[in-house]
Amino acid sequence: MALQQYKCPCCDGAIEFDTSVQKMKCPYCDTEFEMETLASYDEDLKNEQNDDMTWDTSAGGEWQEGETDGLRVYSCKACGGEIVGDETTAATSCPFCDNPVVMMGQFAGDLKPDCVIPFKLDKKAAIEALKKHYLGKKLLPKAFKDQNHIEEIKGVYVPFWLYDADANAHIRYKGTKVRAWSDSNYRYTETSYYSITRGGTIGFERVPVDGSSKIDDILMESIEPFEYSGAVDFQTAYLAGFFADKYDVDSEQSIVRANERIRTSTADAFSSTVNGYTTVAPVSTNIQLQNGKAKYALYPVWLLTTSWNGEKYTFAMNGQTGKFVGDLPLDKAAYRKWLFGLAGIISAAVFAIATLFWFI
Amino acid sequence: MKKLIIFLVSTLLLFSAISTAVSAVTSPLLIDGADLLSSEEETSLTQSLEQFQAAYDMDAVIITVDSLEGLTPEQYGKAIYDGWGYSDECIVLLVSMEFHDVHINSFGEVAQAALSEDTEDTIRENITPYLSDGNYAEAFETYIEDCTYYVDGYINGFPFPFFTILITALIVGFVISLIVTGIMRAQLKSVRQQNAATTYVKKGSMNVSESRDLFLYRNVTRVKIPKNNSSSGGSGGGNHGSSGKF
Repeated sequence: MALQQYKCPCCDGAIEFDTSVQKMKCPYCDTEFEMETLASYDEDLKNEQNDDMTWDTSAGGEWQEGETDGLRVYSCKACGGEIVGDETTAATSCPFCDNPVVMMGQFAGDLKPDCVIPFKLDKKAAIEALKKHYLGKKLLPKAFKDQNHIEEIKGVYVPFWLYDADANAHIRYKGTKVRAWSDSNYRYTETSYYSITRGGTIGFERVPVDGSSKIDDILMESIEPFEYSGAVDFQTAYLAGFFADKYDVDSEQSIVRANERIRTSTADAFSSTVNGYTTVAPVSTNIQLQNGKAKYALYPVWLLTTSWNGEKYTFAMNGQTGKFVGDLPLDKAAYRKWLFGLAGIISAAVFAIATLFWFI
Repeated sequence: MKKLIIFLVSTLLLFSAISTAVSAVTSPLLIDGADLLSSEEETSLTQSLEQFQAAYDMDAVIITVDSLEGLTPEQYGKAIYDGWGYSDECIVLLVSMEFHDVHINSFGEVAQAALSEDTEDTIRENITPYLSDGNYAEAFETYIEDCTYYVDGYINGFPFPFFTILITALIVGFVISLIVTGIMRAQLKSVRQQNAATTYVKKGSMNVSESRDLFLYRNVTRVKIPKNNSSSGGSGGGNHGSSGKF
């Protein structure tokens, strides 16, 4: 399989995509290059390419049946070291010489992404965001903050399917309007019942669904939205210096999730046009979707997985907007201390104030 | 002369004897006209009422009758105070079995100051369950205890409700603490599923082509406003007491 490493024409070093200038930059001689100059490297991708896999069993041991399934081994052009990836690895760095590599075959023919949103924020920004994420969380165990392998945070291009759809909705509701008044003898309540219908169309574009089974879908939904205005035509050069995976969940499977979200939004949008009623309840909801063609995109995400106390914790930062998410563990001892300590202080204060009022 | 002195002395003695007898007969603190109590209960309650009288210089009175003879409970209660020879400071509990009326009223400056109409309502509500169950002795004991509490509180000052305030403070403190720590816990979670696709709606693409609001039918219900039976007013001229059914 063809491995691509982008060499600097000036000093022959390996160049990477630099987030601050949004161009390719050589970290050794500081020269910057426009994306177009590297477009020629992608010429070959236009043709269907056959995967040729090199199987390598490691010296000195027998692999079990099935253990080697899915492993791919590549040879680093810079140092000759072995790079081991799986079926989806599309961009990584050589574990020996740290040079970035891109596996061209992963993007051949049909697999070529339609667009990519390049990284806008670099590793420093990601680390800062992680540190900020810890701030002010009083119930976070101190040891967790200290034991994080912050440097291992990785910039990953996550494969996404983007769906367009036109929704055709026809929803019926039952609604009531309630009026109340009273005279000297009776309290009156008047309830008027209505049958309400709303129908029409609403369009959606580029609803994203995570196309990688390795990366948690809910985590990816939490760092939305990605701004499509920042997307550019795909070029493999953008991947240099980062990690990337190609999709392993195809578009027919992912569309299910997209349609779920589209339906919910459609129902909400039409419900919001029903106004002026005391109560509204949907009676029948009929939503038909016409999906346009799905697009395949790579979106930038900074990822860090860490484990603590036997549990796995994953943090993600939107590489374009900087939105940072990640569930944190609870320090049970601190929680108990806070709960009872605070209860004690407030009880004492209430008691003191009540006593004061009593004796005044 | 000697005869005159003897006559005067004996008349004086006779008069004081009669008046003591009269006062003993016309102002007993417990009159069980409807025969709701056994004689042991009567003795015990009378003792408690006499202790109250001695302690606070006020008559707490319990009257049970078979019928109010056409009068309202308030009128009957006032008649008791006016004509049955009780002291100026007086609290009356009247129970009539004909229509199951119970009435409490206070007369005299100190008694009326110690027992407001709301307090009389409270005492009446405290004893009504016992009356409904037929535990008349318990009802009357509760009446005496409540009167003691409120009159003693008025005259000598209420005791500091240490226990009540402590429990309330603990509950309030715990609830607030739960809320605050709950918020701190929620801070730790930031991973949320996005159930909608609102940010991906094509701007201006929403077209409501069908919009119908059809009126179906109307329903009017009415509820009678209950007239206030236990009169509370408190406009000048003494309070009206607290009346109710059991």
